[in-house]
Amino acid sequence: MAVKVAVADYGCGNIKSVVNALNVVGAEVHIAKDASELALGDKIILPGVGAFREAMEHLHTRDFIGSLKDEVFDKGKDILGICLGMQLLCRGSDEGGDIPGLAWVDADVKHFNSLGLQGLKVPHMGWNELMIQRSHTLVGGIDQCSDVYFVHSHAVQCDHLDDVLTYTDYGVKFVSSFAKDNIFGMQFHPEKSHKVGLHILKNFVEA
Amino acid sequence: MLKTRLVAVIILRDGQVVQSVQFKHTNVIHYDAFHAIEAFNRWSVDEIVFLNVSRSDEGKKQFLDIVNKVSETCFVPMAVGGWVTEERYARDLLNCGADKIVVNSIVHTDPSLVSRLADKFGTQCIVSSIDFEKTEHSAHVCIDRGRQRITQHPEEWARYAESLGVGEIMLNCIQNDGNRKGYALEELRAVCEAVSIPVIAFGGVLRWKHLVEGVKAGASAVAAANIFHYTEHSTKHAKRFMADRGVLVRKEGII
Repeated sequence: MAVKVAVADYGCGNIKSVVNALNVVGAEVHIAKDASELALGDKIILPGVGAFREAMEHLHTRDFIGSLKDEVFDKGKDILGICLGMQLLCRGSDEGGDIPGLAWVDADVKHFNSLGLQGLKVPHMGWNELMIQRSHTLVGGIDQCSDVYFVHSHAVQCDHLDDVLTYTDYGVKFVSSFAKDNIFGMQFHPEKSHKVGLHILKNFVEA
Repeated sequence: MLKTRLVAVIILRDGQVVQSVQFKHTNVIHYDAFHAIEAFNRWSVDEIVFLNVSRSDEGKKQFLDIVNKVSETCFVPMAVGGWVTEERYARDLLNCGADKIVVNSIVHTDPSLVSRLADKFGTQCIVSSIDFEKTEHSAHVCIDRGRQRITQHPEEWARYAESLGVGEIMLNCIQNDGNRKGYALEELRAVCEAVSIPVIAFGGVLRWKHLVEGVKAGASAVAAANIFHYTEHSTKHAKRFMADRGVLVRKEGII
């Protein structure tokens, strides 16, 4: 039986790449345009590109937040936030003023420039390495320093080292993935990270 | 650290992959877009740029179908463009699986649309493709696939595009396109210094050393089209060459 994955389609960016990749790794994909459809998945993916404020507004106005909480906390389903989706799981972002996030993980999102990055181009765009901090199902079979694809201007900093799964170095060291209980986040795009990314997605689906 | 991206450009006319030589597209390369994407995927190229040069409405529509189909097996970032003149078409391309939209003429003809696209879809989603022509003492930007010359210099134009909100520049010199002499390095260097966003160098690669020259001129990504189509595992050899010369490249796809 294929694992069912609900992809939250809350109006922030295109989800086709994520859906394509999930199909390839053998998941049964349910696109949740309505928050109630999140229940169709055994697991949930929260994708997202674009602006933090707009994304939070979309989650609020489309009533996704309550349903996400039900699925993740009451039913204990795994959730994976990708790129902006990861950032939304944090306390808040300094993007466009200080906007509160879902605050499910004790972490902040800051622009690269306010993290002290100097002289490098922003957005951080392209392939960069994962410095794996601990063993975990999500990174099972993934080599240390594997390259994955990033495109972002804001980066995550976790309060607790225990939550950090991988760091990546772009002049400053930032959290490129975290894992706290059943809540996972990836700053990079596994769906666009070729074999390594598909392997990680497969790990998430089969975990 | 961040790797230098090796980008394969695929140019399509009426659904067929064509060679571009100084912006003329006479030579059809004998395989279709699906095979090209499949090969580049297998060879672990870092990114694909997919450009439609068909001018007809029918061509634009057909291009959407092709993007929709190839995105199903393309697991590296894919930037697509060609005659993006309205928001709706950009949205359609994204819904068909494009990760980035390549704009060109609208930076001149409809700059507010460029800003709107960057606002709606994010800065990182919009690539400004800048074509230019060298003149005796200077260089001028051209739009409309090289048909119309405007007065600005490439670096001036790159700064302007950046101010409109694009997240990346792709620079191509019309005379160098398909001429196999390498990138137009002087202008490339000037553009890389002029903007704080990444620059993709394009146009003129025959030898792998041309790619390294582009990196040394400041490019964040180096692109080629024709040359990658002709030899098996071409992009892997290109990466090996770059890695051997100290360029940081993604490990996967090095032969």
